Amino acid sequence: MPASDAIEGPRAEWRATSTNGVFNVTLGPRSGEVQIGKFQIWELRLTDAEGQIVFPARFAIGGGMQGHGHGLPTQPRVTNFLPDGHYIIEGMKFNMAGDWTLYLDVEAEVGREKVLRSDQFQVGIVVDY
Amino acid sequence: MSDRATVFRALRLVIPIILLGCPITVGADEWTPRELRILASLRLSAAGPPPESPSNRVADSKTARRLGAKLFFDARLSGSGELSCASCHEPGRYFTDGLPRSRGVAETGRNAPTVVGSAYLSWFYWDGRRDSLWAQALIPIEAPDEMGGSRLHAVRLVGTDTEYRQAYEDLFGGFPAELLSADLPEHAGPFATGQGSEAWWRIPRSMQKKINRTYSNIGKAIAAYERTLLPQPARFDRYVESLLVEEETPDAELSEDEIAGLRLFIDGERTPCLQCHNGPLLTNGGFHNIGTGNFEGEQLDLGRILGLRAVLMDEFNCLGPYSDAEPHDCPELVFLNRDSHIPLQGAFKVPGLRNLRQTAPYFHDGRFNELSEVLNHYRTAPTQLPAGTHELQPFELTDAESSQIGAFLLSLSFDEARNE
Repeated sequence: MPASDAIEGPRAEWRATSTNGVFNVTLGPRSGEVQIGKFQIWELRLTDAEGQIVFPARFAIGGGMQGHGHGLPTQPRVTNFLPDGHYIIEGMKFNMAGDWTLYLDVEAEVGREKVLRSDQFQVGIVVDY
Repeated sequence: MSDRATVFRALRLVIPIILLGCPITVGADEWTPRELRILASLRLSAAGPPPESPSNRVADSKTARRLGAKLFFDARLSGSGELSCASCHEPGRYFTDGLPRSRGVAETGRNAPTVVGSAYLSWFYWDGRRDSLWAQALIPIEAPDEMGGSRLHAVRLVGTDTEYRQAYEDLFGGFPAELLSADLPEHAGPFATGQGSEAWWRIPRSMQKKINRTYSNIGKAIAAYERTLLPQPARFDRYVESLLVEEETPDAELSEDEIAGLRLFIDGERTPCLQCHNGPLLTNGGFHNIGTGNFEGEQLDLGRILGLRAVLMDEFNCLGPYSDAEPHDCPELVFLNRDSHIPLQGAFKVPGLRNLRQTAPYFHDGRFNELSEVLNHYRTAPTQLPAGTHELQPFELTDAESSQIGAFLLSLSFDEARNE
């Protein structure tokens, strides 16, 4: 199972820790709601194990529905970032309800020593009506 | 309506809230809040007007619509002078042809999908090799097995027909007279039949570009007409609209079988239908592998895996030189998943399910004439490789339940008698 949790609340939002515990991520659609079949802008907040915002970082995004044997219909990308440390993801689209998995590969310098680290996330995204 | 029925309808939205989503079992047409949200997402009015077409600046021009309508029915665009777009997209057949595989100059490998509602789609052809209606319209004119013409022949027709030329000049600001030069052959196009293909490569690139520009404008006019062919509400839509506004006298009813079929269709625990056939057109617009690829023989068809490559190479795509769009207007192409993973071999575009009554036979190669055959395909998913490399999950459905789903699907057809 993906090491991630849906955050309780009115907004569709998920939190996850990377496989080796290097990074934490919070992400969700800017509109607060996943709309099936629509392109949506997502925002992502990346922190290190101490909770410090990590910036800059390189991302590779993939995913799909493991239970169905198909990938994402699109290729989302991090296209921008905001002054508050949020990254902007464009190209997100889920074209059916169900259990999706997002894979995030992240590479960034962390800590005072600015050590280059990379790690992976699996984020379980439940899409429903 | 009886008092009892009135109370039922009044409670329809209240009871589910009280029970926090527990299924309501009273009455044949009682629905949970989640089910109502699904039904609302499927009704035609949820589609709204067709999305804009940024790559086609004349998409909503009346002059372009009129020109496009005439071109759509004009057999002079074909090599033989006997075939038009309407030959395979007949208005009387809901803009399909009723054949398993369409026949132009020769039999093609694919079933002709309807043009109705195509303004809502992002990808065209069963393999999505084109990303706009106007770019799609350019292929059949010079495909050897379809209309067998050529782009230069089409361009010269528009340049020499007085009415066409006037409309063209009104829309695009002048027709390049050099395309009518006697030095050019009658037929030329990279995919044209016989001498036409060879002739194309002898034309200087600068002239090819002018031909392509004018040819793309012809496609844009045809697309402007095709965008006006919109689906009309079906009995299902009127039923759902009545549910949502709690009308005391519903505008339309579904039979018990149709409602049972609808319940099965939207019940993800029982059937996978809604996964791909969602939204107001009953398609998610994507490409999925349901084990129908043809991997050998005359009907060899690998589907999306080749369409993916083709649309990226297409000079008429949204990012190409003949598009009127800026890159940010082309999200489908910009964010296209370019991963040619194995399940794309034999994947095809998910067709919409509106007007199935008028659009048989079904599937990309028209292999099934009856909806019962279609449903049996899903009930008995192929297990042998390579056709077994598909996304279908086994599920149990009785013959009676299969018939109920078929009954529901036909309630999505435009009710011609009511609308005459």
